[in-house]
Amino acid sequence: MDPQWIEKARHGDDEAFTMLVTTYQTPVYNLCFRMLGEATAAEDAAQETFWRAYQNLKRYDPQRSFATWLLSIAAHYCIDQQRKQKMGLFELDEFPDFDLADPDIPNPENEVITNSEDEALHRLINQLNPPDRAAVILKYWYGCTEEEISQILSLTVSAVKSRLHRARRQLAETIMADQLLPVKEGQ
Amino acid sequence: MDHQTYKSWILNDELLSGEDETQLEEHLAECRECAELKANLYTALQMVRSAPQIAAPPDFTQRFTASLAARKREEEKRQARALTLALSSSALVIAFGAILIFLPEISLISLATGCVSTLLRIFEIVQATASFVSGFVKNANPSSLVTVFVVVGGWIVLASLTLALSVWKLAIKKVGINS
Repeated sequence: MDPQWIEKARHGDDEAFTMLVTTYQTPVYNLCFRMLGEATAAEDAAQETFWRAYQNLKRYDPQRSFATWLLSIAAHYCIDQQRKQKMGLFELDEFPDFDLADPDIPNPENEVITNSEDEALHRLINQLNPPDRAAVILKYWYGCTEEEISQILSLTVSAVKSRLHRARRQLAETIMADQLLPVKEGQ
Repeated sequence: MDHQTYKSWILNDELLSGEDETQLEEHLAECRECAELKANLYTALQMVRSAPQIAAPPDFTQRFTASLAARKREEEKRQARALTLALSSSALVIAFGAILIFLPEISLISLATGCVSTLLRIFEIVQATASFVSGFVKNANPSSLVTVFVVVGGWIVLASLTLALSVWKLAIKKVGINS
């Protein structure tokens, strides 16, 4: 991404910011989708991420990676949303709208989650608590280093290591307990 | 090397040195629990790694642009409301202050003058009382002094006791909301 676009957006150029949205929409949306496991919630979270980025663009440090900064906003937002859900706290406008779409028309977003492999994957990572899930997603989907994950999630590197260690143990235990996929002998 | 160390090596998912790798392989050949742990972890991480990246919906940017415009309008309205509120509050505070300072009937200046003159009067009364008491103590005979002290002291003790008794009764009877 050309840093010029970021600089222009920081100086109030909305067209430049729209370019940034187009460029980073998929990584941000994918993170939200993997964190929340639902297309509508993921889109709302991704839209909110870009709005928060837009509002706080002046605070962005150009020395840092813009993608890392955006992913940090998205990860924190998704973690907060899941904490609220767990505690039963909802804002009125956070209730999902009823889906009035024609069920006969195929929806590629919904097809993804109905795919059995994806369901299994969603069940697998859904066992993890939100910050651990975010750490796993960032490490194994985005290939982030522990240092980068620590910046994104505002944790120390040792906290990230400990979270990943715990998450891996939980993932292995879930596979063993649920037998999501048959374990091959001698692997 | 104990079993926990091997489990920790498996779960840390880090590259091991050649020697450690050999030791782990030997342990895995003997320990079914660790072998299962490694196999299950491998399966889980393969599932995570091989999952496709989900693309954002096709009209994501257009929806963002539309919502950005709406939110900016809302933000401008909110700022305008906040500014109006701040300006009206300031105007009210200034008007109220002006009334307090300059209206002759309730002006702060006349209020302050009244306060000072009342304080001066109270001070004069206290001074006169103090000089009367000191004159009385100097000139009166000892028996009159004792009588006065007993009467005044007794009155103070009685008044205090009455007050304490009233408070205690009120507290016991819980006069008010609970009664």
